[in-house]
Amino acid sequence: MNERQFFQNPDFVAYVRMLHQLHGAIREGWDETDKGEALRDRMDEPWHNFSGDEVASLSGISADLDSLSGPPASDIRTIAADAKADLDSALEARKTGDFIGALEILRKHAGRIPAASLAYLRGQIWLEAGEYPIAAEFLQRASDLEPDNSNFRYIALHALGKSDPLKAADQARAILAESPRNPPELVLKAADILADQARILPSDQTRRELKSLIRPLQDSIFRLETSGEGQVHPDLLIRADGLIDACRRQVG
Amino acid sequence: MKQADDGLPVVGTASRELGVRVPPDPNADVDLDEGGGVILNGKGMSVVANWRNLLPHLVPKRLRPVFPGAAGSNRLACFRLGEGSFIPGSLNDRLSLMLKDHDTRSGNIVPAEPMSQGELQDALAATRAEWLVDDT
Repeated sequence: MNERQFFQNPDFVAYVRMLHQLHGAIREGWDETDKGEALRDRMDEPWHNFSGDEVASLSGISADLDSLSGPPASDIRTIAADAKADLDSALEARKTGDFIGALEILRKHAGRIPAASLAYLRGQIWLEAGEYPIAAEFLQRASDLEPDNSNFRYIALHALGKSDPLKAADQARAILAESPRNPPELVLKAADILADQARILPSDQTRRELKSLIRPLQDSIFRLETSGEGQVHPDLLIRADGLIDACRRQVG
Repeated sequence: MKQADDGLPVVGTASRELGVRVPPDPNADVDLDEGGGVILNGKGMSVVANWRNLLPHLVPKRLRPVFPGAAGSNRLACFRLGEGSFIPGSLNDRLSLMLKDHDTRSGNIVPAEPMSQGELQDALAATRAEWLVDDT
């Protein structure tokens, strides 16, 4: 057995990533093909190195991954009062790097947390663990279940930017194409992602891309200021201003 | 393990079959000496006390209602051998069960005496009819 367990055990991390892939294969319907079986064969490799606790934890994670598809398991609207204290413990565990503990607490209370919030909290834990593709899926699930929640949309885009920058750029373009309809903080995040992407483009394209960001950013600042949200979150205004400055410098 | 058309485990030397993988397979279940004999060092065919102790990719998806997270192929089945407790000891005159050091819920079916890899495969294959599907 490996001396290091869970996220300190490279075999555990490798298995988690393959398990995530396998759940994707099941959803997409190719897990019973030769390719799917080859993936399962690779998952056999680290088995001998796992402790019983690690195996139990991986079964729990697999059950969590099941929740990424199909209808939400419950129609609960608010977090049950008696679960709140434990959820604070989960957040605390996440902050201290006890990701397994945090996920277990959520699992224990899964039936008393709204499905979107549960997906959001799970996504945050995976984000903190640095497992961005898994985080992005949970956060997208949260956003899909509650499409009007701008915070969910923001964090889902952020995680996607970490896991799949090209796909995030596509989403960012779609958001900017309808920027007046989207929350200003989401427009800002989309602009941020496209500005990052623009750096690897040929210089004339970079300028064109950055130039296209200035107008939606200005609109977002205006909306943040007029709604009063800019006073509540001055960091958003500062970031938007900084981004506009950076775009203008590049555009010349 | 993979389930054959007759409902019993598939015998073989690949993953999830009734048998052991041998060197040079990088995931060999046993070590061999220079003469091709199985080294008696506790290695063998992996088994667990209960199918719920298996990794999720080994539990067939159809068991999701009773085992959320099951992600194994539906061509697999969970099999049980015998009725006894999951404790170290003799399974028959050629095979024994040894528990793993780090986890008493998992172990290996190992040769009870020195034998070649072929003899071990035969000994395992000879148990085929004794494995019963256990999805409970």
